[in-house]
Amino acid sequence: MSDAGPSDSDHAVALTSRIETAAALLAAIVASSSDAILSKTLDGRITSWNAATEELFGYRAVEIIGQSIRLLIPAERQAEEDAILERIAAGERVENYETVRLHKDGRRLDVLVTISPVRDANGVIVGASKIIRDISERKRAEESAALLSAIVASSFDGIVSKSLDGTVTSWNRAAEQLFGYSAQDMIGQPIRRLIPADRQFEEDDILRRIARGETVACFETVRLHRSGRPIEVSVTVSPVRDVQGTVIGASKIVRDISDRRRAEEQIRTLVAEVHHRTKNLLGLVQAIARQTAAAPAEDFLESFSARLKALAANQDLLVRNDFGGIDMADLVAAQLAPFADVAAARIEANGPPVRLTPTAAQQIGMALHELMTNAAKYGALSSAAGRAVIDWQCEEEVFAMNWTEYDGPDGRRPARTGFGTRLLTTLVPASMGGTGVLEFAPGGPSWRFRSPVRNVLAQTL
Amino acid sequence: VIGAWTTSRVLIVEDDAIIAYDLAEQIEAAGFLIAGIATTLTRGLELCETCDAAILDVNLGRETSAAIAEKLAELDTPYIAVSGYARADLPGAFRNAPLFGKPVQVDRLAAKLQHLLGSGN
Repeated sequence: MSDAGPSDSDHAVALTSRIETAAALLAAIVASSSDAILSKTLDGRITSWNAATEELFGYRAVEIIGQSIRLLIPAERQAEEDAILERIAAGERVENYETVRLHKDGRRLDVLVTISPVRDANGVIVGASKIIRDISERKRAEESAALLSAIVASSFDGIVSKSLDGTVTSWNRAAEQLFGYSAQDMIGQPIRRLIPADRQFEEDDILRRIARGETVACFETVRLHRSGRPIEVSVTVSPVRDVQGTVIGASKIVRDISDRRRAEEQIRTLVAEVHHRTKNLLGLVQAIARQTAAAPAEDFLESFSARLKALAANQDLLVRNDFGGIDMADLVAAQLAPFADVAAARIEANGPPVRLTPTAAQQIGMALHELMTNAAKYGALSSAAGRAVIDWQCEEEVFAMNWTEYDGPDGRRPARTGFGTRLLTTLVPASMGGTGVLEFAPGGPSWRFRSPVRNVLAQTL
Repeated sequence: VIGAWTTSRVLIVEDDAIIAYDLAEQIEAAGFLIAGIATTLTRGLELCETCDAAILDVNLGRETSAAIAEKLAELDTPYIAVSGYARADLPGAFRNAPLFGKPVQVDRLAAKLQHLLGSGN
Protein backbone atom coordinates (compact mmCIF):
# COMPACT_ATOMS: atom_id res chain seq x y z
CA MET A 1 0.00 0.00 0.00
CA SER A 2 1.58 3.28 -0.96
CA ASP A 3 0.71 6.29 1.05
CA ALA A 4 1.77 8.72 -1.65
CA GLY A 5 -0.97 11.42 -2.19
CA PRO A 6 -1.72 13.45 -5.31
CA SER A 7 1.10 15.58 -6.63
CA ASP A 8 1.10 19.41 -6.43
CA SER A 9 0.33 19.64 -10.09
CA ASP A 10 -2.61 17.31 -9.59
CA HIS A 11 -3.78 19.68 -6.84
CA ALA A 12 -3.55 22.68 -9.10
CA VAL A 13 -5.53 20.98 -11.87
CA ALA A 14 -8.20 19.85 -9.45
CA LEU A 15 -8.40 23.33 -7.90
CA THR A 16 -8.67 24.99 -11.28
CA SER A 17 -11.30 22.54 -12.28
CA ARG A 18 -13.29 23.19 -9.07
CA ILE A 19 -13.01 26.94 -9.49
CA GLU A 20 -14.13 26.63 -13.09
CA THR A 21 -17.05 24.46 -12.02
CA ALA A 22 -18.02 26.93 -9.30
CA ALA A 23 -17.72 29.89 -11.71
CA ALA A 24 -19.86 28.09 -14.30
CA LEU A 25 -22.41 27.31 -11.61
CA LEU A 26 -22.54 30.95 -10.47
CA ALA A 27 -22.83 32.11 -14.07
CA ALA A 28 -25.72 29.70 -14.61
CA ILE A 29 -27.43 30.94 -11.42
CA VAL A 30 -27.06 34.56 -12.49
CA ALA A 31 -28.18 33.83 -16.02
CA SER A 32 -31.31 32.03 -14.90
CA SER A 33 -32.17 34.36 -11.99
CA SER A 34 -35.55 36.02 -12.22
CA ASP A 35 -34.01 39.13 -10.59
CA ALA A 36 -32.12 41.44 -12.89
CA ILE A 37 -28.41 41.20 -12.10
CA LEU A 38 -25.72 43.32 -13.68
CA SER A 39 -22.22 44.45 -12.90
CA LYS A 40 -20.35 47.66 -13.63
CA THR A 41 -16.96 49.17 -13.20
CA LEU A 42 -16.23 51.89 -10.66
CA ASP A 43 -16.63 54.54 -13.38
CA GLY A 44 -20.04 53.17 -14.23
CA ARG A 45 -19.39 51.07 -17.34
CA ILE A 46 -21.63 48.00 -17.63
CA THR A 47 -19.67 44.72 -17.62
CA SER A 48 -22.42 42.08 -17.39
CA TRP A 49 -26.20 41.98 -18.02
CA ASN A 50 -28.32 38.88 -17.42
CA ALA A 51 -31.49 37.72 -19.20
CA ALA A 52 -33.80 39.14 -16.53
CA THR A 53 -32.12 42.55 -16.97
CA GLU A 54 -32.71 42.35 -20.72
CA GLU A 55 -36.34 41.65 -19.95
CA LEU A 56 -36.63 44.49 -17.41
CA PHE A 57 -34.93 47.29 -19.35
CA GLY A 58 -35.45 46.20 -22.95
CA TYR A 59 -31.75 46.38 -23.87
CA ARG A 60 -29.96 43.24 -25.20
CA ALA A 61 -26.69 42.41 -23.41
CA VAL A 62 -24.74 42.89 -26.65
CA GLU A 63 -25.98 46.41 -27.17
CA ILE A 64 -25.47 47.65 -23.58
CA ILE A 65 -22.31 46.02 -22.28
CA GLY A 66 -19.59 48.67 -22.33
CA GLN A 67 -22.14 51.50 -22.17
CA SER A 68 -22.57 53.76 -19.15
CA ILE A 69 -25.05 52.72 -16.45
CA ARG A 70 -26.25 56.37 -16.53
CA LEU A 71 -28.26 55.49 -19.66
CA LEU A 72 -30.77 53.91 -17.25
CA ILE A 73 -30.96 56.83 -14.86
CA PRO A 74 -33.48 59.69 -15.29
CA ALA A 75 -31.92 63.15 -15.62
CA GLU A 76 -33.15 64.36 -12.22
CA ARG A 77 -31.63 61.32 -10.48
CA GLN A 78 -28.12 61.38 -11.97
CA ALA A 79 -26.71 62.63 -8.65
CA GLU A 80 -27.85 59.39 -7.03
CA GLU A 81 -25.29 57.48 -9.09
CA ASP A 82 -22.46 59.72 -7.87
CA ALA A 83 -23.44 59.03 -4.25
CA ILE A 84 -23.78 55.27 -4.90
CA LEU A 85 -20.37 55.02 -6.59
CA GLU A 86 -18.79 56.91 -3.72
CA ARG A 87 -20.23 54.48 -1.16
CA ILE A 88 -19.22 51.43 -3.22
CA ALA A 89 -15.66 52.78 -3.54
CA ALA A 90 -15.61 53.10 0.25
CA GLY A 91 -16.53 49.40 0.48
CA GLU A 92 -20.14 49.92 1.54
CA ARG A 93 -23.17 47.97 0.43
CA VAL A 94 -26.35 49.81 -0.63
CA GLU A 95 -29.31 47.66 0.29
CA ASN A 96 -32.95 47.76 -0.90
CA TYR A 97 -32.74 51.25 -2.28
CA GLU A 98 -36.08 52.36 -3.83
CA THR A 99 -35.70 54.47 -6.95
CA VAL A 100 -36.80 55.02 -10.55
CA ARG A 101 -34.99 53.82 -13.68
CA LEU A 102 -35.67 54.14 -17.40
CA HIS A 103 -36.73 51.41 -19.81
CA LYS A 104 -35.24 51.52 -23.32
CA ASP A 105 -38.58 52.88 -24.59
CA GLY A 106 -38.49 55.76 -22.07
CA ARG A 107 -41.00 54.26 -19.60
CA ARG A 108 -40.21 54.92 -15.94
CA LEU A 109 -39.82 51.83 -13.79
CA ASP A 110 -40.20 51.69 -10.02
CA VAL A 111 -37.29 49.51 -8.83
CA LEU A 112 -35.64 48.26 -5.67
CA VAL A 113 -31.82 47.93 -6.00
CA THR A 114 -29.13 46.31 -3.90
CA ILE A 115 -25.53 47.21 -4.85
CA SER A 116 -22.42 45.46 -3.52
CA PRO A 117 -18.73 46.14 -4.14
CA VAL A 118 -16.87 43.57 -6.26
CA ARG A 119 -13.26 42.93 -5.21
CA ASP A 120 -10.39 41.26 -7.09
CA ALA A 121 -8.23 38.45 -5.70
CA ASN A 122 -6.28 41.02 -3.69
CA GLY A 123 -9.35 42.52 -2.11
CA VAL A 124 -9.20 45.69 -4.18
CA ILE A 125 -12.63 47.06 -5.15
CA VAL A 126 -12.88 46.98 -8.93
CA GLY A 127 -16.57 47.38 -9.54
CA ALA A 128 -20.09 46.75 -8.30
CA SER A 129 -22.79 44.15 -8.70
CA LYS A 130 -26.41 45.26 -8.82
CA ILE A 131 -29.55 43.26 -8.17
CA ILE A 132 -32.61 45.08 -9.41
CA ARG A 133 -36.21 44.16 -8.65
CA ASP A 134 -39.20 45.63 -10.53
CA ILE A 135 -41.68 46.96 -7.96
CA SER A 136 -44.01 48.83 -10.38
CA GLU A 137 -46.70 46.24 -9.71
CA ARG A 138 -46.41 46.64 -5.94
CA LYS A 139 -46.34 50.44 -6.31
CA ARG A 140 -49.49 50.38 -8.39
CA ALA A 141 -51.19 48.12 -5.88
CA GLU A 142 -50.16 50.44 -3.05
CA GLU A 143 -51.45 53.47 -4.94
CA SER A 144 -54.75 51.88 -5.81
CA ALA A 145 -55.18 50.64 -2.24
CA ALA A 146 -54.54 54.19 -1.00
CA LEU A 147 -56.98 55.57 -3.57
CA LEU A 148 -59.66 53.04 -2.60
CA SER A 149 -59.27 53.73 1.08
CA ALA A 150 -59.51 57.48 0.41
CA ILE A 151 -62.73 56.89 -1.57
CA VAL A 152 -64.18 54.74 1.19
CA ALA A 153 -63.19 57.24 3.87
CA SER A 154 -64.73 60.20 2.03
CA SER A 155 -67.88 58.42 0.79
CA PHE A 156 -71.28 59.75 1.88
CA ASP A 157 -72.52 56.17 1.98
CA GLY A 158 -71.77 54.03 4.99
CA ILE A 159 -69.22 51.39 3.87
CA VAL A 160 -68.43 48.55 6.24
CA SER A 161 -67.04 45.05 5.96
CA LYS A 162 -67.72 41.97 8.02
CA SER A 163 -66.50 38.42 8.28
CA LEU A 164 -68.69 35.47 7.36
CA ASP A 165 -69.86 35.10 10.96
CA GLY A 166 -71.06 38.72 10.90
CA THR A 167 -68.22 40.36 12.85
CA VAL A 168 -67.46 43.92 11.73
CA THR A 169 -63.97 44.28 10.24
CA SER A 170 -64.07 47.86 8.91
CA TRP A 171 -66.28 50.89 9.45
CA ASN A 172 -65.96 54.18 7.54
CA ARG A 173 -66.70 57.76 8.61
CA ALA A 174 -70.13 57.87 6.94
CA ALA A 175 -71.09 54.70 8.84
CA GLU A 176 -70.05 56.46 12.05
CA GLN A 177 -72.37 59.35 11.25
CA LEU A 178 -75.23 57.17 10.05
CA PHE A 179 -75.32 54.78 13.00
CA GLY A 180 -73.74 56.89 15.77
CA TYR A 181 -71.07 54.27 16.56
CA SER A 182 -67.34 55.01 16.03
CA ALA A 183 -65.09 52.54 14.17
CA GLN A 184 -63.57 51.71 17.55
CA ASP A 185 -67.05 50.90 18.94
CA MET A 186 -67.90 48.57 16.09
CA ILE A 187 -64.81 46.77 14.80
CA GLY A 188 -64.81 43.28 16.28
CA GLN A 189 -68.50 43.59 17.25
CA PRO A 190 -71.40 41.65 15.70
CA ILE A 191 -73.20 43.54 12.90
CA ARG A 192 -76.46 42.21 14.35
CA ARG A 193 -76.51 44.94 16.98
CA LEU A 194 -77.69 47.28 14.15
CA ILE A 195 -80.58 45.02 13.21
CA PRO A 196 -84.01 45.33 14.88
CA ALA A 197 -85.20 42.17 16.69
CA ASP A 198 -87.97 41.53 14.17
CA ARG A 199 -85.51 41.69 11.24
CA GLN A 200 -82.73 39.43 12.50
CA PHE A 201 -83.80 36.78 9.99
CA GLU A 202 -82.69 39.12 7.18
CA GLU A 203 -79.07 38.75 8.32
CA ASP A 204 -79.35 34.92 8.23
CA ASP A 205 -80.56 35.16 4.66
CA ILE A 206 -77.91 37.71 3.63
CA LEU A 207 -75.06 35.64 5.13
CA ARG A 208 -76.34 32.50 3.35
CA ARG A 209 -76.42 34.31 0.02
CA ILE A 210 -72.97 35.88 0.54
CA ALA A 211 -71.48 32.47 1.37
CA ARG A 212 -72.83 31.25 -1.99
CA GLY A 213 -71.04 34.18 -3.66
CA GLU A 214 -74.21 36.17 -4.43
CA THR A 215 -74.59 39.95 -4.19
CA VAL A 216 -77.61 41.44 -2.42
CA ALA A 217 -78.31 44.71 -4.24
CA CYS A 218 -80.30 47.75 -3.03
CA PHE A 219 -82.14 45.89 -0.32
CA GLU A 220 -84.45 48.39 1.46
CA THR A 221 -84.85 47.81 5.15
CA VAL A 222 -84.65 49.35 8.61
CA ARG A 223 -81.57 49.47 10.85
CA LEU A 224 -81.01 50.93 14.31
CA HIS A 225 -79.09 54.04 15.30
CA ARG A 226 -77.05 53.83 18.50
CA SER A 227 -79.86 55.81 20.19
CA GLY A 228 -82.37 53.09 19.22
CA ARG A 229 -83.98 55.30 16.57
CA PRO A 230 -84.90 53.28 13.43
CA ILE A 231 -83.26 54.43 10.17
CA GLU A 232 -84.66 53.64 6.72
CA VAL A 233 -81.74 52.36 4.63
CA SER A 234 -80.88 50.81 1.30
CA VAL A 235 -78.18 48.14 1.65
CA THR A 236 -75.97 46.48 -0.99
CA VAL A 237 -73.93 43.53 0.26
CA SER A 238 -71.19 41.91 -1.88
CA PRO A 239 -68.92 38.96 -1.14
CA VAL A 240 -65.22 39.67 -0.49
CA ARG A 241 -62.86 36.96 -1.80
CA ASP A 242 -59.23 36.13 -1.09
CA VAL A 243 -56.67 35.60 -3.92
CA GLN A 244 -57.78 31.98 -4.29
CA GLY A 245 -61.35 33.16 -4.87
CA THR A 246 -62.74 31.86 -1.58
CA VAL A 247 -65.43 34.04 0.00
CA ILE A 248 -63.98 35.33 3.28
CA GLY A 249 -66.43 38.06 4.19
CA ALA A 250 -68.73 40.76 2.86
CA SER A 251 -68.66 44.46 2.08
CA LYS A 252 -71.76 46.46 2.84
CA ILE A 253 -72.78 49.81 1.39
CA VAL A 254 -75.51 51.46 3.43
CA ARG A 255 -77.45 54.51 2.29
CA ASP A 256 -79.83 56.55 4.44
CA ILE A 257 -83.12 56.81 2.51
CA SER A 258 -85.22 58.53 5.23
CA ASP A 259 -85.32 61.78 3.21
CA ARG A 260 -86.43 59.93 0.09
CA ARG A 261 -89.12 58.09 2.07
CA ARG A 262 -90.39 61.37 3.51
CA ALA A 263 -90.47 62.96 0.03
CA GLU A 264 -92.36 59.93 -1.35
CA GLU A 265 -94.89 60.21 1.47
CA GLN A 266 -95.36 63.94 0.74
CA ILE A 267 -95.88 63.24 -2.94
CA ARG A 268 -98.50 60.56 -2.16
CA THR A 269 -100.37 62.99 0.11
CA LEU A 270 -100.15 65.74 -2.48
CA VAL A 271 -101.40 63.51 -5.30
CA ALA A 272 -104.36 62.38 -3.16
CA GLU A 273 -105.13 66.02 -2.35
CA VAL A 274 -104.91 67.14 -5.98
CA HIS A 275 -107.10 64.20 -6.98
CA HIS A 276 -109.73 65.19 -4.41
CA ARG A 277 -109.70 68.85 -5.44
CA THR A 278 -109.93 67.93 -9.11
CA LYS A 279 -112.97 65.75 -8.48
CA ASN A 280 -114.59 68.57 -6.49
CA LEU A 281 -113.84 71.05 -9.22
CA LEU A 282 -115.38 68.75 -11.83
CA GLY A 283 -118.49 68.48 -9.64
CA LEU A 284 -118.62 72.27 -9.50
CA VAL A 285 -118.16 72.61 -13.27
CA GLN A 286 -120.97 70.09 -13.80
CA ALA A 287 -123.29 72.10 -11.52
CA ILE A 288 -122.37 75.41 -13.19
CA ALA A 289 -122.94 73.91 -16.64
CA ARG A 290 -126.38 72.62 -15.68
CA GLN A 291 -127.37 75.85 -13.95
CA THR A 292 -126.15 78.01 -16.83
CA ALA A 293 -128.05 75.87 -19.34
CA ALA A 294 -131.24 76.13 -17.24
CA ALA A 295 -131.51 79.89 -17.84
CA PRO A 296 -132.88 80.18 -21.39
CA ALA A 297 -132.24 83.93 -21.69
CA GLU A 298 -128.48 83.47 -21.54
CA ASP A 299 -126.16 82.58 -24.37
CA PHE A 300 -125.00 79.27 -22.90
CA LEU A 301 -121.50 79.01 -24.38
CA GLU A 302 -120.55 82.61 -23.70
CA SER A 303 -121.80 82.60 -20.10
CA PHE A 304 -120.44 79.15 -19.34
CA SER A 305 -116.94 79.94 -20.71
CA ALA A 306 -116.83 83.22 -18.78
CA ARG A 307 -117.78 81.41 -15.55
CA LEU A 308 -115.13 78.75 -16.19
CA LYS A 309 -112.56 81.50 -16.70
CA ALA A 310 -113.59 83.10 -13.40
CA LEU A 311 -113.20 79.71 -11.74
CA ALA A 312 -109.77 79.28 -13.34
CA ALA A 313 -108.66 82.73 -12.13
CA ASN A 314 -109.66 81.73 -8.57
CA GLN A 315 -107.81 78.46 -8.97
CA ASP A 316 -104.64 80.32 -10.04
CA LEU A 317 -104.81 82.43 -6.90
CA LEU A 318 -105.37 79.39 -4.68
CA VAL A 319 -102.40 77.54 -6.14
CA ARG A 320 -100.20 80.61 -5.93
CA ASN A 321 -101.07 80.88 -2.23
CA ASP A 322 -100.62 77.13 -1.56
CA PHE A 323 -104.34 76.84 -0.79
CA GLY A 324 -103.84 79.13 2.19
CA GLY A 325 -105.30 82.59 2.75
CA ILE A 326 -106.12 84.76 -0.28
CA ASP A 327 -105.75 88.53 -0.07
CA MET A 328 -109.07 90.25 -0.83
CA ALA A 329 -107.37 92.91 -3.02
CA ASP A 330 -105.67 90.14 -5.06
CA LEU A 331 -109.03 88.43 -5.55
CA VAL A 332 -110.63 91.67 -6.79
CA ALA A 333 -107.70 92.25 -9.17
CA ALA A 334 -107.91 88.67 -10.52
CA GLN A 335 -111.64 88.90 -11.24
CA LEU A 336 -111.21 92.40 -12.67
CA ALA A 337 -108.54 91.32 -15.17
CA PRO A 338 -110.92 90.13 -17.95
CA PHE A 339 -112.68 93.55 -17.80
CA ALA A 340 -109.47 95.57 -17.67
CA ASP A 341 -109.90 97.09 -21.13
CA VAL A 342 -113.41 98.40 -20.49
CA ALA A 343 -113.54 99.03 -16.80
CA ALA A 344 -110.28 99.06 -14.87
CA ALA A 345 -110.28 102.79 -14.29
CA ARG A 346 -113.95 102.84 -13.40
CA ILE A 347 -113.93 100.23 -10.64
CA GLU A 348 -112.73 101.39 -7.26
CA ALA A 349 -111.80 98.96 -4.51
CA ASN A 350 -111.52 100.07 -0.86
CA GLY A 351 -110.90 97.97 2.20
CA PRO A 352 -108.38 96.86 4.80
CA PRO A 353 -106.00 94.00 3.99
CA VAL A 354 -107.88 90.78 4.83
CA ARG A 355 -107.12 87.15 4.02
CA LEU A 356 -110.01 84.99 2.88
CA THR A 357 -110.33 81.22 3.34
CA PRO A 358 -110.02 79.23 0.08
CA THR A 359 -113.80 78.52 0.15
CA ALA A 360 -114.71 82.17 0.77
CA ALA A 361 -112.28 83.29 -1.95
CA GLN A 362 -113.87 80.89 -4.43
CA GLN A 363 -117.42 82.03 -3.57
CA ILE A 364 -116.70 85.78 -3.42
CA GLY A 365 -114.71 85.42 -6.65
CA MET A 366 -117.76 83.88 -8.35
CA ALA A 367 -119.97 86.68 -6.98
CA LEU A 368 -117.58 89.38 -8.26
CA HIS A 369 -117.55 87.72 -11.68
CA GLU A 370 -121.36 87.78 -11.86
CA LEU A 371 -121.53 91.42 -10.71
CA MET A 372 -118.88 92.60 -13.21
CA THR A 373 -120.38 90.62 -16.09
CA ASN A 374 -123.80 92.03 -15.39
CA ALA A 375 -122.45 95.58 -15.01
CA ALA A 376 -120.59 95.32 -18.32
CA LYS A 377 -123.67 94.01 -20.14
CA TYR A 378 -126.55 95.97 -18.62
CA GLY A 379 -125.26 98.09 -15.73
CA ALA A 380 -122.99 100.99 -14.96
CA LEU A 381 -120.07 99.64 -16.97
CA SER A 382 -122.21 99.46 -20.12
CA SER A 383 -122.42 103.27 -20.29
CA ALA A 384 -119.53 105.70 -20.64
CA ALA A 385 -120.24 107.62 -17.43
CA GLY A 386 -120.93 104.70 -15.10
CA ARG A 387 -118.63 103.40 -12.39
CA ALA A 388 -118.65 100.87 -9.57
CA VAL A 389 -117.25 100.75 -6.03
CA ILE A 390 -116.29 97.62 -4.10
CA ASP A 391 -115.74 98.11 -0.38
CA TRP A 392 -115.32 95.78 2.55
CA GLN A 393 -114.67 95.89 6.29
CA CYS A 394 -114.98 93.79 9.43
CA GLU A 395 -117.23 95.15 12.18
CA GLU A 396 -118.02 93.24 15.38
CA GLU A 397 -117.40 89.76 13.97
CA VAL A 398 -119.30 90.54 10.77
CA PHE A 399 -117.60 90.67 7.39
CA ALA A 400 -119.42 93.28 5.29
CA MET A 401 -118.86 93.69 1.59
CA ASN A 402 -120.70 95.98 -0.83
CA TRP A 403 -120.80 96.39 -4.55
CA THR A 404 -122.39 99.67 -5.63
CA GLU A 405 -122.93 100.96 -9.17
CA TYR A 406 -123.25 104.71 -9.90
CA ASP A 407 -124.37 106.74 -12.90
CA GLY A 408 -125.42 103.76 -14.95
CA PRO A 409 -128.60 103.29 -16.97
CA ASP A 410 -131.67 103.07 -14.73
CA GLY A 411 -131.44 99.92 -12.71
CA ARG A 412 -134.25 97.52 -13.48
CA ARG A 413 -134.86 94.24 -11.72
CA PRO A 414 -134.47 91.55 -14.40
CA ALA A 415 -137.75 89.89 -15.28
CA ARG A 416 -136.30 86.38 -14.89
CA THR A 417 -134.20 85.25 -11.95
CA GLY A 418 -131.17 83.68 -13.60
CA PHE A 419 -128.32 81.65 -12.16
CA GLY A 420 -126.27 84.84 -11.61
CA THR A 421 -128.98 86.32 -9.39
CA ARG A 422 -129.34 83.03 -7.54
CA LEU A 423 -125.60 82.91 -6.93
CA LEU A 424 -125.66 86.40 -5.39
CA THR A 425 -128.78 86.05 -3.28
CA THR A 426 -128.69 82.40 -2.25
CA LEU A 427 -125.70 80.23 -3.16
CA VAL A 428 -122.73 82.45 -2.29
CA PRO A 429 -124.26 83.66 1.02
CA ALA A 430 -125.29 80.09 1.96
CA SER A 431 -121.72 78.85 1.47
CA MET A 432 -120.58 81.19 4.24
CA GLY A 433 -123.70 81.19 6.43
CA GLY A 434 -124.39 84.81 5.46
CA THR A 435 -126.87 86.97 3.59
CA GLY A 436 -126.77 88.62 0.16
CA VAL A 437 -129.16 91.37 -0.86
CA LEU A 438 -129.44 92.61 -4.43
CA GLU A 439 -131.11 96.05 -4.81
CA PHE A 440 -131.99 98.07 -7.84
CA ALA A 441 -131.59 101.86 -7.32
CA PRO A 442 -131.91 104.49 -10.12
CA GLY A 443 -128.07 104.76 -10.57
CA GLY A 444 -127.59 100.99 -10.89
CA PRO A 445 -127.82 97.79 -8.84
CA SER A 446 -126.00 97.15 -5.57
CA TRP A 447 -125.16 93.99 -3.64
CA ARG A 448 -124.81 93.91 0.16
CA PHE A 449 -123.10 90.81 1.53
CA ARG A 450 -122.86 90.09 5.29
CA SER A 451 -121.35 86.98 6.90
CA PRO A 452 -119.75 85.93 10.21
CA VAL A 453 -116.02 86.79 10.08
CA ARG A 454 -115.05 83.23 11.15
CA ASN A 455 -116.69 81.81 8.00
CA VAL A 456 -114.89 84.21 5.66
CA LEU A 457 -111.42 85.01 6.94
CA ALA A 458 -108.46 82.67 7.22
CA GLN A 459 -107.08 82.37 10.74
CA THR A 460 -104.20 84.80 11.08
CA LEU A 461 -101.19 83.94 13.18
CA VAL B 1 -144.53 52.72 -8.24
CA ILE B 2 -143.18 56.24 -7.76
CA GLY B 3 -145.49 56.85 -4.80
CA ALA B 4 -143.40 54.57 -2.64
CA TRP B 5 -140.75 57.20 -2.10
CA THR B 6 -142.07 60.59 -3.24
CA THR B 7 -142.85 61.63 0.31
CA SER B 8 -139.35 60.77 1.49
CA ARG B 9 -137.36 63.76 2.71
CA VAL B 10 -133.69 63.87 1.70
CA LEU B 11 -131.04 65.91 3.53
CA ILE B 12 -128.18 67.22 1.38
CA VAL B 13 -124.89 68.05 3.09
CA GLU B 14 -122.32 69.64 0.75
CA ASP B 15 -120.00 72.55 1.52
CA ASP B 16 -120.12 74.01 -1.96
CA ALA B 17 -123.51 75.70 -2.20
CA ILE B 18 -123.52 75.67 -6.01
CA ILE B 19 -123.11 71.89 -6.07
CA ALA B 20 -125.56 71.48 -3.15
CA TYR B 21 -128.40 73.43 -4.74
CA ASP B 22 -127.81 71.89 -8.16
CA LEU B 23 -127.96 68.43 -6.58
CA ALA B 24 -131.11 69.36 -4.62
CA GLU B 25 -132.83 70.42 -7.87
CA GLN B 26 -132.05 67.10 -9.47
CA ILE B 27 -133.06 65.04 -6.43
CA GLU B 28 -136.33 66.95 -6.42
CA ALA B 29 -136.76 66.31 -10.11
CA ALA B 30 -136.26 62.59 -9.39
CA GLY B 31 -139.31 62.67 -7.13
CA PHE B 32 -137.97 63.22 -3.63
CA LEU B 33 -138.63 66.01 -1.16
CA ILE B 34 -135.69 68.05 0.17
CA ALA B 35 -135.45 68.01 3.96
CA GLY B 36 -132.81 70.71 3.82
CA ILE B 37 -129.47 71.77 2.43
CA ALA B 38 -126.56 72.08 4.85
CA THR B 39 -123.19 73.56 3.83
CA THR B 40 -121.73 73.17 7.35
CA LEU B 41 -121.40 70.40 9.95
CA THR B 42 -123.47 72.34 12.52
CA ARG B 43 -126.40 72.87 10.14
CA GLY B 44 -126.23 69.24 9.01
CA LEU B 45 -126.47 67.96 12.61
CA GLU B 46 -129.52 70.18 13.18
CA LEU B 47 -131.33 68.65 10.21
CA CYS B 48 -130.64 64.97 10.99
CA GLU B 49 -133.93 64.32 12.75
CA THR B 50 -136.15 65.77 10.04
CA CYS B 51 -134.96 63.59 7.16
CA ASP B 52 -135.63 60.04 5.94
CA ALA B 53 -132.29 59.71 4.09
CA ALA B 54 -129.17 61.82 3.55
CA ILE B 55 -126.52 62.49 0.93
CA LEU B 56 -123.30 63.43 2.70
CA ASP B 57 -120.29 65.08 1.09
CA VAL B 58 -117.55 63.68 3.32
CA ASN B 59 -115.18 66.64 3.20
CA LEU B 60 -116.63 69.98 4.33
CA GLY B 61 -113.68 72.36 3.96
CA ARG B 62 -111.95 72.33 7.34
CA GLU B 63 -114.30 69.68 8.83
CA THR B 64 -115.85 66.34 7.78
CA SER B 65 -119.43 65.12 7.93
CA ALA B 66 -118.45 62.02 9.97
CA ALA B 67 -120.37 63.25 13.04
CA ILE B 68 -123.52 63.58 10.91
CA ALA B 69 -123.06 60.01 9.64
CA GLU B 70 -122.69 58.74 13.22
CA LYS B 71 -125.85 60.56 14.32
CA LEU B 72 -127.80 59.22 11.32
CA ALA B 73 -126.59 55.69 12.09
CA GLU B 74 -127.92 56.05 15.65
CA LEU B 75 -131.26 57.23 14.25
CA ASP B 76 -131.24 54.31 11.81
CA THR B 77 -131.53 56.77 8.93
CA PRO B 78 -129.82 55.59 5.71
CA TYR B 79 -127.13 57.78 4.14
CA ILE B 80 -124.94 57.85 1.06
CA ALA B 81 -121.36 59.16 1.03
CA VAL B 82 -120.10 61.40 -1.76
CA SER B 83 -116.37 62.06 -1.98
CA GLY B 84 -113.41 62.72 -4.24
CA TYR B 85 -111.36 60.46 -1.94
CA ALA B 86 -111.06 56.68 -2.13
CA ARG B 87 -112.98 54.61 0.43
CA ALA B 88 -109.82 53.63 2.31
CA ASP B 89 -109.12 57.30 3.05
CA LEU B 90 -112.59 57.99 4.51
CA PRO B 91 -113.50 58.26 8.22
CA GLY B 92 -114.80 55.01 9.81
CA ALA B 93 -118.45 56.11 9.78
CA PHE B 94 -118.42 55.86 5.96
CA ARG B 95 -116.70 52.47 5.65
CA ASN B 96 -119.97 50.58 5.12
CA ALA B 97 -122.04 53.31 3.47
CA PRO B 98 -122.69 53.36 -0.31
CA LEU B 99 -120.02 55.62 -1.85
CA PHE B 100 -120.37 57.83 -4.93
CA GLY B 101 -117.36 59.55 -6.50
CA LYS B 102 -117.41 63.12 -7.74
CA PRO B 103 -118.80 64.35 -10.05
CA VAL B 104 -121.97 62.52 -9.04
CA GLN B 105 -124.11 60.60 -11.51
CA VAL B 106 -127.48 61.68 -10.17
CA ASP B 107 -129.66 58.99 -11.82
CA ARG B 108 -127.65 56.26 -10.11
CA LEU B 109 -127.66 58.21 -6.86
CA ALA B 110 -131.47 58.51 -7.01
CA ALA B 111 -131.80 54.78 -7.71
CA LYS B 112 -129.64 54.01 -4.66
CA LEU B 113 -131.77 56.35 -2.50
CA GLN B 114 -134.91 54.57 -3.69
CA HIS B 115 -133.36 51.22 -2.84
CA LEU B 116 -132.27 52.32 0.65
CA LEU B 117 -135.68 53.82 1.46
CA GLY B 118 -137.52 50.83 0.01
CA SER B 119 -135.61 48.25 2.02
CA GLY B 120 -135.86 50.36 5.16
CA ASN B 121 -139.68 50.34 5.12
